[in-house]
Amino acid sequence: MQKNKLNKLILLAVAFASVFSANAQLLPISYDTTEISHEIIIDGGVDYYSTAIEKDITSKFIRGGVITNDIKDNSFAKHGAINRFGGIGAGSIEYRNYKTKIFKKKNWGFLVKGGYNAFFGMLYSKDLFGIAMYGNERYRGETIDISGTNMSFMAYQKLGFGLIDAKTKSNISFNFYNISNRTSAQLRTFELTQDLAGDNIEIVMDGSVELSSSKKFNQGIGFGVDLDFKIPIQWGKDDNTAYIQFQAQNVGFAYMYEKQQVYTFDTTFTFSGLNLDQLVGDNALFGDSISVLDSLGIRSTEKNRTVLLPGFIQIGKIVDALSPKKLQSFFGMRLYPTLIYSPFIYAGLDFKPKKWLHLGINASYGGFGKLKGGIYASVRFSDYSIGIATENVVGFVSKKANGESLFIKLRWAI
Amino acid sequence: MKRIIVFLVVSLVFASCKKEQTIWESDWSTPLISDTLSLDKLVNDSTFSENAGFYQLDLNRTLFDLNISELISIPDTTLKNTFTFAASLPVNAGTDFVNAIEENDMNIQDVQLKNIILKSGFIDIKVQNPLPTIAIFTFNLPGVTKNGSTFSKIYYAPAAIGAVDGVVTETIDLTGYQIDLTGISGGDFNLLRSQINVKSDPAGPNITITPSDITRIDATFRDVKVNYARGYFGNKIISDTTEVLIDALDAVASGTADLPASVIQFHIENGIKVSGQARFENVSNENSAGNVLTLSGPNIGTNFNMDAATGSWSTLTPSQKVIEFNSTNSNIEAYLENLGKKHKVGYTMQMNPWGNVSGSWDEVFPNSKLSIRMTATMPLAIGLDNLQLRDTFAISLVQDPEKTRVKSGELILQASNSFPISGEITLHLLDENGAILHSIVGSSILQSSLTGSLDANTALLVANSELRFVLSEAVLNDINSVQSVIVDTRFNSINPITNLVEQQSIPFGAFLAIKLKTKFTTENKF
Repeated sequence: MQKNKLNKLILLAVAFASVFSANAQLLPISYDTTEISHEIIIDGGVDYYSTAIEKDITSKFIRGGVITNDIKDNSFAKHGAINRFGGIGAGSIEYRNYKTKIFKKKNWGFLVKGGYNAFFGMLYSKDLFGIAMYGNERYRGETIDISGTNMSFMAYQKLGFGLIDAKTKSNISFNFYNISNRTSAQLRTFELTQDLAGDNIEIVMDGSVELSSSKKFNQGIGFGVDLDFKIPIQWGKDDNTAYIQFQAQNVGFAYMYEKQQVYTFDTTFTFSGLNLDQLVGDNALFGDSISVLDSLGIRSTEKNRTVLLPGFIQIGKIVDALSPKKLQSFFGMRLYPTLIYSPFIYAGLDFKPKKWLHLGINASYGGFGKLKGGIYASVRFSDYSIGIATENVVGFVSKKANGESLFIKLRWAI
Repeated sequence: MKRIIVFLVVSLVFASCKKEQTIWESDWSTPLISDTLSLDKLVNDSTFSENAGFYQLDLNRTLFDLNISELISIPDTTLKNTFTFAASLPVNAGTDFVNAIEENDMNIQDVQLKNIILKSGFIDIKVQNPLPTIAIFTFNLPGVTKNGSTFSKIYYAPAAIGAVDGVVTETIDLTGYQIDLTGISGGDFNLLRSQINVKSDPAGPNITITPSDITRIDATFRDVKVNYARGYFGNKIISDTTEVLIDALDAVASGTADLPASVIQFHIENGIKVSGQARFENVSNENSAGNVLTLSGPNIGTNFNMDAATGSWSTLTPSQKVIEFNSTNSNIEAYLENLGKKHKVGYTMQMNPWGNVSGSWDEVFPNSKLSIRMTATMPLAIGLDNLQLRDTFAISLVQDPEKTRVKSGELILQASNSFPISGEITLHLLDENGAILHSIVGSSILQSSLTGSLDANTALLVANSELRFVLSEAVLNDINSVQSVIVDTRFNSINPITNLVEQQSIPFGAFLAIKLKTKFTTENKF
């Protein structure tokens, strides 16, 4: 089996594996108002992309391999002053019961869901990529400026209970979260200046880094909500009805009851080399009582933290699965409450050649990257349906792409 | 459903495949050491001095130093005075029943002291009264005076109760007391006079003293140190061998050094008013190769006299005796060129070799001392011919080949040298058994200042060098086995014009400024 095909199979497998533990953001979202009694939805996927880092590098971090100088050079050339890189890995399973009425006077059923999410994002400078990939040697006589770097990572699991309107399928769920890992870093100022001869290094730094100091699976507890409201609107000259969806996922807070290791620094450090007395003799620097962090002006403390969940809100026109039209448009916008993720906009066309088949293309801009295109296909067999989509179609065919994306959705409705 | 299960199982098999390592290389450089080595710190350390713009060795080391406390020692001594009666004796109130003058041996060994003044010390006095009335003890030490006053104490010992004596104790600071130790006759030594009088209470009852009543007074001299002593200090012989270690020369592995004509002097200073004799039994050194060289000449094994000091107290003038070893009366040059790391000086000193010729007027004062001091003076002009210094440092560097590691690199030594000496540096990496795993030769030599140019800031000739020590992949693959590193340097003082090894004077203020930098390629694994 060719390696390329094997890699794609692995990506597909990861997506399927995550289906059983998380919740994803599948594009497009089609809307089926058919009245049913029960529904099970399993979905999941992975999506990582960047404004500048090519898939040739990121895929090596996922699947392994050697990052050659050519690969580094290609990505480095694409970097601008400010760059983004990030991704999500998610999967969920959800059961909807439309038959059981929770309230006598309302046509509301209930839903139960569980899932897994991992969110990683980074806002960074070209120099950060440069020093990480090439080292500091090429920057002699220059200042490596990685000020403004902002990084966030959180992995969590959720269990939610909610209500769902049996007719409109609008729903709300209240979720409890287990935070299993969290890291964040903010470098307001970080400049490393080297003279041309390499004799002197000066570091100006102001920022903080927070890490999980525990390896426990349960490190924090959170509470949040998922919302999904569909609003019918008049669309077009023929008084057609279209649906606007307002969606929010994982909007809430978490309390890290396991202490976080917090490193803070606001210092200027100059280093020209140690003198011999610091290396040998009674006053040697590397004695037991010497703390390297202290000498660098880095303070280390352990703290409990209350943090925002990496939730998002999304609003957009969705595809009506029951519409007689063969061609429908969809578009919308997604927002995360962080600078790392720029506002994400998307638009596309859904083509329904048969009643049981949807095909579509879309384009999107923002998020962790720039412009990218997506395709999807959805097939319905009686009570079952399956959809597969990518938000980065170039990532499937080219090493020059800035990421990869694959989402799967399985649905059983009766 | 069956298809879905099969598909998911296959998917999980793929998903659980172990990820290959992500690998990339990056290049890093950082300064490691920046320092300037010079002889400045040794200028005020009685080692070097300046002479006409050049360093000269100006060594000054004390080999032996005897002061008054080591010469005169007064042991802790208790003077015990007890008084009893052979038959019962009626004693009326206010009656003297003991009146005695005693002579007490101070138990001083080896010396015969007539008079001492105490720097510090105490006397613990304890009086015991066995009588059923108050006893009045008068305790005088006629030979013990301070500021013209004789030591005298009166104690009122309470009456005994049954078989329990009435007791009084007191501790008196003896600092500054002068003690006459000539005894009752005034012509003896080490003897202290005491006078004791005991009287019954004039206001008490009449009593009867029985033979079983023991009246007692103890006086203990404790922690006594003298400030001045006079007498005969005896025929004392001091013989010892002193070792002087020069650790820096332990690193010499091979090669030769050519030193200029030199002089070593031993200064014997006698601040005690005692005459004596001394001689050097032997002087030798042993270099790092184990070669022993003995200093020879007429000054070895020959007695020389030490005159007594003159004057007293503030006018005390020690006698001085200088024994010199130079190129004409010894093999001093060869002795020094042996580059001994361990020097042994054996000597014997004898006080009063002709007996008590002073009539017991030997004197020692607070500032008196008997010392031997070695001085060496020579221009610091050294000829080095492949002089090899080796120094070993323990190191422990661990790299996991499966994790991020240094793949290759080099150590870059940049030096500015104003010493007229060149050096070739090699690093030997040793395993735990001391076997050499790798030898890394510097890419060039550390240039002598004689090949450099005049530095306007220091007005010294300065030569710049850059030596690179390449850490190959083979070296770094073995780095976990390296337990120590030998820095092996061969020094030469070659005249660049004649291309011959010559003695080169070290200019005053000479320095070696070094910058050690690293340049590594890391293989990063994720």
